[in-house]
Amino acid sequence: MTAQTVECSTPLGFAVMRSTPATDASQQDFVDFVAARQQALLRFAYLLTSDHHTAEDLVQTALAKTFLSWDKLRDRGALDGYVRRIIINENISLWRRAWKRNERPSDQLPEDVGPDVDEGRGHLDTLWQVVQALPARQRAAVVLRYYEDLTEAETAAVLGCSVGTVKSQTSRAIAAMRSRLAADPELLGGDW
Amino acid sequence: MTEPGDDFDSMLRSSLRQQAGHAPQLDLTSAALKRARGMRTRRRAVGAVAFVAAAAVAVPVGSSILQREVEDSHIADAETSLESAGPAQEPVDVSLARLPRGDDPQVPYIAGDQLIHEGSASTVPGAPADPQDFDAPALVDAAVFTDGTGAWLHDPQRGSLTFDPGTTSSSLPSSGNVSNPAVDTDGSVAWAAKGVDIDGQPADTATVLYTDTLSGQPAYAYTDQLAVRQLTAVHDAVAVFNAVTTDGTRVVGRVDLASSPATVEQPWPHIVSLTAASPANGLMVGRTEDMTGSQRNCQAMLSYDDGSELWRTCEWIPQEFSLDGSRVFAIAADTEGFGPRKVAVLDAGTGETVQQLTTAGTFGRATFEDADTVDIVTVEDGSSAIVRCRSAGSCELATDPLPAVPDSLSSPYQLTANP
Repeated sequence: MTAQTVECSTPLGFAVMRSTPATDASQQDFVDFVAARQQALLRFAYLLTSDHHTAEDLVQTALAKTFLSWDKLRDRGALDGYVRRIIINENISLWRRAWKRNERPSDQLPEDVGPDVDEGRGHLDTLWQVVQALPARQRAAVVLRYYEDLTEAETAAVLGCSVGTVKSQTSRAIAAMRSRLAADPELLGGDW
Repeated sequence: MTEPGDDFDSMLRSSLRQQAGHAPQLDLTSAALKRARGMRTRRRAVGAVAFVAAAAVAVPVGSSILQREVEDSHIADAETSLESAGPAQEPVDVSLARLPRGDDPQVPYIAGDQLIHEGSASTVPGAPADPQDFDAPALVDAAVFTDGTGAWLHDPQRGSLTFDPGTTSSSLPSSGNVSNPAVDTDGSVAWAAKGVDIDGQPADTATVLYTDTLSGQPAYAYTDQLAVRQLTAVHDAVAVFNAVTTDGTRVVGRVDLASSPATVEQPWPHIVSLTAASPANGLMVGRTEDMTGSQRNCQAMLSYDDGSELWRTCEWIPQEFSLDGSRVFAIAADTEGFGPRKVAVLDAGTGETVQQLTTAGTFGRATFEDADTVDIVTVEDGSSAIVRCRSAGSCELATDPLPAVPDSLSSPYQLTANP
């Protein structure tokens, strides 16, 4: 892997200008934006985390940061991408703390990824299991490409990296998922 | 079995759409605005401190240039006032490149070579003295002992404990069913496996397994319909855990694994969840019923005996007690998306900050060598080391820096839990 492919943290192309924090007048704009987009953002965050509480926390923090920069954001059409970028970065920061997620007792109990009698165990659930096994940035690329249906260029803008990096991250993720499915028959029909 | 084929993309899209339907339905407007106000307040406070600090340096320096002779006494005053702020309370900046090399960690740790180091001894985990003598029930088929660098897989059938680099909890076949481990004072390890019975067969029960770390020899097991999700601590074979009942209620329980038959107690019904516990010292950290909702990120120090609250904090999340229970390591509750860049050692009895540490990178797990010395995994600028910091304020490298694991963004160093 080249340095370029892992360097996905270049400044995002969301144009900002120097200004003051959100004013009372613009707060209503922000509230309207949240009302319109929060469910979609929660779904996006949930796909990145598989955890209700973490998804809620990520979106809440991302929206708070967005509010603090509200009056600086010139291109309101890019707001969704801006918030998604914060969510992804926040999630990767959480993911770095794997000891907390996987090992440490915490206030947030881990989600049950085992058998779920009510939902059955079809191929879709199986795929979800392998999606959850992806590294955080690959998973973000997959969700942006296959759930949000963003183009490679749009995905690159959200992730803050090159189109080439998006291609490599996505292809690596798909290869890993295919390999995982092919190598472990239990994932498609086992009891665990 | 179905092989992944050409319709993989469409199956993936369908799966993601289906799972997205499980996302929470919430109105976050008020919470987001409230959090934004909190962030702004903190930023202003930090800015003010930075300004004062800069002024404390710049003013005396400027004065010394322009009015060196006249202002000598003022410079002395400024220096005195900085010292009086309390050097132990000032955050210590941990920069790997600037730290001197000290002694190796005085606590067990795992390095990138997959060995457990303890003092001068290095052990390959999972090497039973005689595998033929190992006759363990198949309670769990895999267990996660480590962070994002990989997984320690425990196989009681073979008595082995092997490291699988790159494997994460969620990629294990039974990963969702195995909790974090908790370490007892004698080095035994306990963890919980959900969805299996005492014979290791799939069932609507959870089993808590208590076993020796290196041999894999199981000593006790306990099965219950409670979905035991996390073991907070284990002391003298008494495990404390977070669990979920069959109706979805969170409970905190305690089970004496060595008793026969082992039974679960719920001695603290008003405690919603536990984050850390030091049973030997009568302390635990968790959240009480009255700290729900907007105080979800607040933690309380509680008495292990009766669950009474000693103090609470919304600024820190206590993680790890010192062996004597007098101190507790904590990470900042609000990382603002940068991971734990600020950590502290708190007085476990009062909650007062003993020492604060900051880094431009990310802090990981910590373990106390003694009450005044804590070892912390630190990742910074592509490399990682275990750093030893003392309450007096000094820090040093306890290991040589190693490259951080590519992609996983995690440290090759791992510290084990304090017993």
